[in-house]
Amino acid sequence: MNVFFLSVGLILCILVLLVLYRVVFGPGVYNRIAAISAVGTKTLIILLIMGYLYDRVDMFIDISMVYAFLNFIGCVAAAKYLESEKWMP
Amino acid sequence: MVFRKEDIIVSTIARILIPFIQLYALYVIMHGHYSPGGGFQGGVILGASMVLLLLTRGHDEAKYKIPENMVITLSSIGVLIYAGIGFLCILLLGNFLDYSKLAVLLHVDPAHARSLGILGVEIGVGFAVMAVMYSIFLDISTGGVLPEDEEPEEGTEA
Amino acid sequence: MILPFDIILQLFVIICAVAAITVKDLMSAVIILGAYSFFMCLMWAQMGAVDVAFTEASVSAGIGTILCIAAVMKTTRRTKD
Repeated sequence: MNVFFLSVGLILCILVLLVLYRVVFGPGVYNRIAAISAVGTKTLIILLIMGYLYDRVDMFIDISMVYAFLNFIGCVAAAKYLESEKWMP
Repeated sequence: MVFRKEDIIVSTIARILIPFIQLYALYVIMHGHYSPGGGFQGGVILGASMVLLLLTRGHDEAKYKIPENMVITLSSIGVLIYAGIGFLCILLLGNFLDYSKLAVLLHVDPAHARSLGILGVEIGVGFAVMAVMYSIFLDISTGGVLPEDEEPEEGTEA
Repeated sequence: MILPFDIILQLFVIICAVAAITVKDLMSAVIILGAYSFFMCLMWAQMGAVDVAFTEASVSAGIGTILCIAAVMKTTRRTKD
């Protein structure tokens, strides 16, 4: 079972690498905000897989829930700022 | 930065989510012994929930729910709880923050009294951190100028 | 200490740090630093330090990014270099 979870985690890491292309090279700030929200959801699952590999899931669930909230709040803050002044690059 | 609330989707979602975020922050404070967390982390999450209220509702409506006097008072109350428990232990003929002397007041054995003493200190830390996080965000987003202070200046200039 | 995750997360951290410095737009740099902070949280969790990971996620990736966004609003959005 450990080998299965480890391989799932590595495949998710490869998917995060694909989305990081948009973070680094995305023309403009809107691409980067959407890409970082996507990265946040994948890395939540990587945290839970690490919890399974260490055999103590109940500790890692707390961290995942906290980051799920704070991802949402950060996205709302960035959107509020970008709405208040329409600055185009 | 926080002007109007014409968007109904974000406002409704924030209204649904904020009580659950605060309940989760209380869970994090109370379970500091057994799971990762504690006073500081729970206080930061509570502060983040208040910042979400400010972002989605605007300054005028947030001032009704969370007046600025209450924020300053809460941070002082947090420090008062922390130092108060410490000095209470001194009054009961112990060292500063020596929780085993609290067993006389609470009618439990000293090991239990140590656990309850640390819980009280964590609650104090949580109050202080929550108030300070919200207050810092308020100062940065308004630039240190209250909106009601600007009107008399416009009146005297005109 | 899970070795494959360790190497891959170090690569992500270096990519995010280099990208945050070379981007010309300050708003994008703040957002990339939010992601950098969360990859650091994953590294702490992978090393077994769960409390440190919790603090890094809640403070730096959460409220720290929001405060930096509010600070960028007060200045210009284009760097001088």
